[in-house]
Amino acid sequence: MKRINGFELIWLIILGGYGYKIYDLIQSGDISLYMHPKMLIYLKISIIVLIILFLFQIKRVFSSQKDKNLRNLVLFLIPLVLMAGAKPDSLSARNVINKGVNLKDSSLIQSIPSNSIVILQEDNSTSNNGDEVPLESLKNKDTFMNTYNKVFDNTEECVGEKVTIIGFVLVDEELSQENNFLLCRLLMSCCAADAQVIGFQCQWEKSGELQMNQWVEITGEVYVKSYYNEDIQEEETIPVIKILELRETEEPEESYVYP
Amino acid sequence: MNSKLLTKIDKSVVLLFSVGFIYLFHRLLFDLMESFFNNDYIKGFTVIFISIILEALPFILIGILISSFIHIFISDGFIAKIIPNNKLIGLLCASAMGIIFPVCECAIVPIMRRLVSKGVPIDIAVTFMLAVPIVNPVVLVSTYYAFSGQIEFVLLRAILGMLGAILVGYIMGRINEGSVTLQEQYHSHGHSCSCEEHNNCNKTLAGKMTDMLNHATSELYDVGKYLIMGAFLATIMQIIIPREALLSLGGGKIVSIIVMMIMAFVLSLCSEADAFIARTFLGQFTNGSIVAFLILGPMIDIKNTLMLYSAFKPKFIIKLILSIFIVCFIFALMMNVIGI
Repeated sequence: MKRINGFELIWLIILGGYGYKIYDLIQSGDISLYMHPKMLIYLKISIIVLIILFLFQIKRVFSSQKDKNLRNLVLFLIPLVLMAGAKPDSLSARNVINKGVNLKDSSLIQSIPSNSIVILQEDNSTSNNGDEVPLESLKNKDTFMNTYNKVFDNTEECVGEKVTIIGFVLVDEELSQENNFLLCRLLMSCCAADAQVIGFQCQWEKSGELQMNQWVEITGEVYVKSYYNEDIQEEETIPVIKILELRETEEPEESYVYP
Repeated sequence: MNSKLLTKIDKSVVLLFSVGFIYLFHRLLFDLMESFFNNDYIKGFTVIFISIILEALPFILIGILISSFIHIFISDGFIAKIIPNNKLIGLLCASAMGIIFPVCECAIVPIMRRLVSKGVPIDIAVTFMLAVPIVNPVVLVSTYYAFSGQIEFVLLRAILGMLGAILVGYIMGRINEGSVTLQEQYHSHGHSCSCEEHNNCNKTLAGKMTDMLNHATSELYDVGKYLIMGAFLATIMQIIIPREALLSLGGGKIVSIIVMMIMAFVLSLCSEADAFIARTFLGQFTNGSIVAFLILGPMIDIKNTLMLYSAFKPKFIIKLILSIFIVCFIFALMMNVIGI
C-alpha cells in the first residue's frame, strides 16, 4: 500500500467536514441563525464546490510528502469544532450585540425603507380578552417590519393607529422610570455579524414587571413624543406605542427580521 | 509458542486498556467541552465568527476557481494583449469592471494576485481590486435601500469609490515602479504551467482541469488560513467596540473621519451590509466620515489585509493601506469642509 500523506489526509477531512457541517446546518434550519436566507443559494454552491475538491483530494492523499506545516491545519479545525460543539441560539447574538446598542438613544433605532406592501389591516385580529390565540396572530410575526417601516416613515400619519406586533423586551433604567420599555427585533441584512437591534419605545403602566429578553405580543396605539437628543443637540420626535394589551409569547421560528 | 501467545495477550491487554483510557478521556473531554461551549461568550463569539466565515466562503471558493482558471487557461501573452496601452483608459476600465463582475471583496483578492502574477500592471490590478467591491450593482442597490432612498449617498459612494480606486491604483503604480510586489511562490515564469506542483505541462483538457483543481485546493488552503484569522480578529473587534462610546466622537470634522475609517477597517463588514450599519451613524457623525466608511470598508479591512499577506510582500501591503487611508481621508475632509 502506498504511503499516506498526512497533510493531505487531514485536508481531506477538513474539506469533508466543512461540506458536511454546512449541509447539516441548512438541513436543521440552524443556518438562519447565522445568515440571511438569500445567502442560502451561495452556501449550496459552496457545498458542491467542496464536494468536488473533496473527491479530487482523495487521490492526493497518496501523493508524495512535501514540506508542509501541519500546524496551520489546526486553524481550519477551530471553526469546525465551534460549529459542531457550540449550539448558539438567537439570544447569543443579542447578548453580544446588546453591548453595542445604546438603549436610550432612539436614533440608533432607525427606519429602513419599506419595499413591501404594508398590511396593517391584518392587525384587526386583536382579540379583546387576549386568552384565545386567533390564527391571525401567528401571522403577526411578519408584520413587525411592515409596521416598523410605516410608523417610522410616516410617523405623523400613523398617530392613533392600532398595531399588533411581536418582539423581545429590552429594559432600560432611564426608560423604566417613565414606565417605558423597548420592544425589539434583530435585523439581519446579510449575516449575523451585521445584525442590529431595531424596535419601538412602548409605554405601559406595568413595565416594571417585564424582564429582559422576554418575548411578548403587544397591541397598542401609536403616538408621538418629543425629547432632546444630547448627541446631536436637537429636539426629536419619535413614535411611541401606548400598550393596550400585552401577553407573553414564544420566540417565533423566524426570530430575525430582514430589511 | 508460549511466548507468542503471551505477546498476543499482552497486545490485547494493551489495546483494551488504551481503548478504555481513550473512552474515559473522551467523556471527560466532552464534559469539559460542554461547559466551555455553553458559555455565553463562546456562543456569542461563535455566532459572529461563523457567520463571517460562512458568508465569505462561497465567494472565496468562486475567487479561487476563477484564479486557478486564469492560471491554467489564460497565458501572460493574452493578458498583455488586452490591457490598453493608454494608462488612463486602462484605469477607467479597471474601475468599471465591478459592473460586469459583481464580486465580493473576499473573492477579489485571489483573482487580483493571480492577475498580478500574470503580468497585469500594478496600477490596473489595484484599481480593479478596490473598485469592484464598491462599483457594482448589488452593493449600490443595497446602499440605496439602507439610506432610505437618499440617492446622494449612493452617488457619493459610487463616484468617490471609483475615483478613490483610480487614485490609489495610480499611486501604487508609481511608488512600486520596478519593484517586485509578490512573494516568491507566486511568480509565473512565462508560460502557464510553472508551478512546483507538477513538472510536466498538461496539454489535454482533462489534464488542464486536473491542474486547475490542484491549484484551487492549494489556494483554498493559502487564502483560507488568513480568512479564518481575519474573521477571528474581526469578531473580537465587533464584540469589544461599544458603539455608544463612539457616538460622542461624531461631531468633529477630523476626528469623526478617523473614527469611521478605523471602524470600517476593523469591523470587516461585507460591502453589501455595511451600508445598513453606516446608516445608524447618520446624524451623529459627519457626512464625510460616513462616506469614508462606505468607501474604505470595501477597499480594505482586517480580513483583506491578512488575505493579501498570503501573496504580497508586507511593504506593498503597508503602502497600500496607507494610500487608501490617505485618499479616503482627503475625500471625506473635502466633503466636511465644503459642507456636503
